[in-house]
Amino acid sequence: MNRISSGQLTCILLLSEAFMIMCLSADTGLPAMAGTAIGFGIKLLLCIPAMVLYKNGFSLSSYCKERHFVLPVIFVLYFIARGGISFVLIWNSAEQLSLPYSGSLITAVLIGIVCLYTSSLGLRTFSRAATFTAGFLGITLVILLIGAWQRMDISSISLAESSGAFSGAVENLMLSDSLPVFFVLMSFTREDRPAKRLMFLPIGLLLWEIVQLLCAAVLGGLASYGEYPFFLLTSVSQPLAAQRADAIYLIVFVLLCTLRITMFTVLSAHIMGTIFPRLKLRSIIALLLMIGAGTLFGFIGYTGSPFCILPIVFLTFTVPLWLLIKKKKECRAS
Amino acid sequence: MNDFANETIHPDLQQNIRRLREITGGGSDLMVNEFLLSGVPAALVTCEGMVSTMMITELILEPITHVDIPNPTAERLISHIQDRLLLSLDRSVADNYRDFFRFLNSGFAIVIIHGASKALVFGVQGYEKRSVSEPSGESNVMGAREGFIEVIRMNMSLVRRRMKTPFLKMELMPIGDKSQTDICLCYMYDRVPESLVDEIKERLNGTELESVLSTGYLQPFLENKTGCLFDTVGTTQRPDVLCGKLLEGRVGILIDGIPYAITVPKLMCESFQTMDDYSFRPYYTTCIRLIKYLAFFISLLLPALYVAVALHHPELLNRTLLLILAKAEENAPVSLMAEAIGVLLVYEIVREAGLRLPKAVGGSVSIVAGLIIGDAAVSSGLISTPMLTVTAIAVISGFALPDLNQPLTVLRLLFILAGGFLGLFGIGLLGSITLFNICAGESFGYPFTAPIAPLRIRSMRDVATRVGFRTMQKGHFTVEEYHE
Repeated sequence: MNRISSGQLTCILLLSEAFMIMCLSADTGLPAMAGTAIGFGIKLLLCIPAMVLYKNGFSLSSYCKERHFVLPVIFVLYFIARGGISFVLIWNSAEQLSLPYSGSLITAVLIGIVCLYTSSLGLRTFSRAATFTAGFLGITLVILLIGAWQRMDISSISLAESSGAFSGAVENLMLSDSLPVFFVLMSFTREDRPAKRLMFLPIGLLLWEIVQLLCAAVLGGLASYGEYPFFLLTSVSQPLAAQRADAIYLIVFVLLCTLRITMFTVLSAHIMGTIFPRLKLRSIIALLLMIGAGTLFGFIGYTGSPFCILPIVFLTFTVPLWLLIKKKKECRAS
Repeated sequence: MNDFANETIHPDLQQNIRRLREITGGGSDLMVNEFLLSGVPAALVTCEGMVSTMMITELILEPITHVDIPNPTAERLISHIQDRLLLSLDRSVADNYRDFFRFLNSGFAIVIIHGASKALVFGVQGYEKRSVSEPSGESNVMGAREGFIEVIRMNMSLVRRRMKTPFLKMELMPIGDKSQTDICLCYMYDRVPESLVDEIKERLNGTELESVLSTGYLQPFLENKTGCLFDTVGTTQRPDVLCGKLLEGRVGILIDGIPYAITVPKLMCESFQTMDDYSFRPYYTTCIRLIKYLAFFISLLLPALYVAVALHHPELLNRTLLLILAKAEENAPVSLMAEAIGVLLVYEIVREAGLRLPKAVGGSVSIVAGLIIGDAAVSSGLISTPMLTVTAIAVISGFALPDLNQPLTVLRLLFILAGGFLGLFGIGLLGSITLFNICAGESFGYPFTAPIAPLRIRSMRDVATRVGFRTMQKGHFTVEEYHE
């Protein structure tokens, strides 16, 4: 696996956030926006131990090679679970794609086949593709803003239903599976200023706030009626009076789906490779496990709960902190 | 017969001539003129049609027959000719039959002397060649009108005339077991990393080709095995374009017999640049460049989007457009997807026919196809007018990017299939595959997608826009900046 730049790291994590925004079924009012801001503040605090750990020369690959199996296995399991949940989110939002067939399994198989190819090309190719997709996403956002601008009504913001800032913060943290990804990807990121590596947080916050604000200002009380406020927003906000622009959002959404599954596959396959160097067909194994996990989660109807925050805090905060303390102790002992 | 390669030249003149005839199988284009050189038997060997008779007579035969030295031996005669007579600017010595025939068949005149186990070689090429003319494939409005021709040495001079710096290095080397084609590596040795040149040489020397008859013979050896649909090795017909690329730290490869130069590494953004971009005013070039990026997406996606939206997402169309399409498709005998693929296939057949037929007939193919078949197909209801319009727009958009014609042609068809079967979801999936395929493209460690991914803001001045030369001249740019 090769090194990526801080900019590419930002793009990868932003796209992960963007996927979550598109699958957003959360509140969109002002308290929810405040909650999102609080959630991002907490995320920033959670990232500190990981930043300090990597500043002290930590490398996940070297750690795995020292025959520490438990932590890498936990990461692999987490990524497979998140990949599975992503599949469920895609199946649930598949209605928005107006597929010419019925059956979510075909969707999963098709995405799986595509991801099999995309994940085989490695992290470097993935990071380049993420840069391009971030560009497409930027253009899409501009189109959305132009469309929403004509429909925006500030007074509608107060009509948007919200269950409060605390609930907003919890909901945002539930969706922040990009933090463990951040911890792993830091291993492959070139040395750079911490501020550059953490750029995904302010930009991600901005993205969330813009979409939530637009949902509240354009949809008002309607936001709570639709299952997916983002897709409702795009269907209402059309930049051209004569022609709808939904095709762009749908194509970008499919791109984001592929990138997200590819991200979890690439990372799982890589960590599997460091634990079991002789294991072949790692990407296929990771993908099959993800589809299996997705089927299981889909069967029990699970897409997330406040308990999702626990593994995120554990992998992003507790683990780096523990590794940091362990390292300090080892330094003192030597 | 093939074991002559490392065989040293026979010192006995008659046996030497006999061996030459043996190796060539008594070929009629081998010309051997025997004469006495200061009393020692010698012969002038040439290949018919490859040398200039006038040059041979004036520069070699005339002075050499007047050579008169005391106590002549083969060794003394060779050193006399080498040291005292400047018979040709391009002189060399052949020690074995492999070199002998390479020189001979490249248009050199060779003097063999009885008693000498080496031959003197003089460059007196005089074969027929096409004169330098405007390149057919890379026309421009304000740039030079010179294009490469088939003769490598002429192409080298076309480049050298534009780049007088001694830092421009040109290295000749033969490639191809049978053809022994001369290729010339051109690079600015102060701007190209030595490792890149070494790797290119290593890959070229590692080829086991029998001949090199077009740039396509060498391209696979210079590309990485990533299966990228797009060319990661560039070609140009223009010496000015090659010079521009050499200045950016690329390596150029000229091949004898081919009016194209290969450039390595190639970036995708180069497909959107032309020489005229640097002649026109920056604001105009920027505008044209953005139109070209748009043309790329139109050419790739427009027919597929049309098919996908009309078949699976008609709610995305406005009422007027939907009614027009419904009316147009009402009488069409085949499905929209079949119609789109059919139109594109017919276009490709017509294009191929027009390209391969003699020029005089080629023109009439377009008339027959465009006017007669096209008009008849629409009026008979076989093809709907909107479909024909959409396809024509996509194809014409592709003409704006001739460099990307091959991948665009194939991908356009694949996108129609994806859009036809799976709608926008299919286009998104194939879009992901295409995006990853492009991003996987690399040439000697230089990402094909640079400077967009990985993003280099400074380099965007000649990618998304084209800044003026006052800004462009600041800081020497080389592709080395993109190396990963």
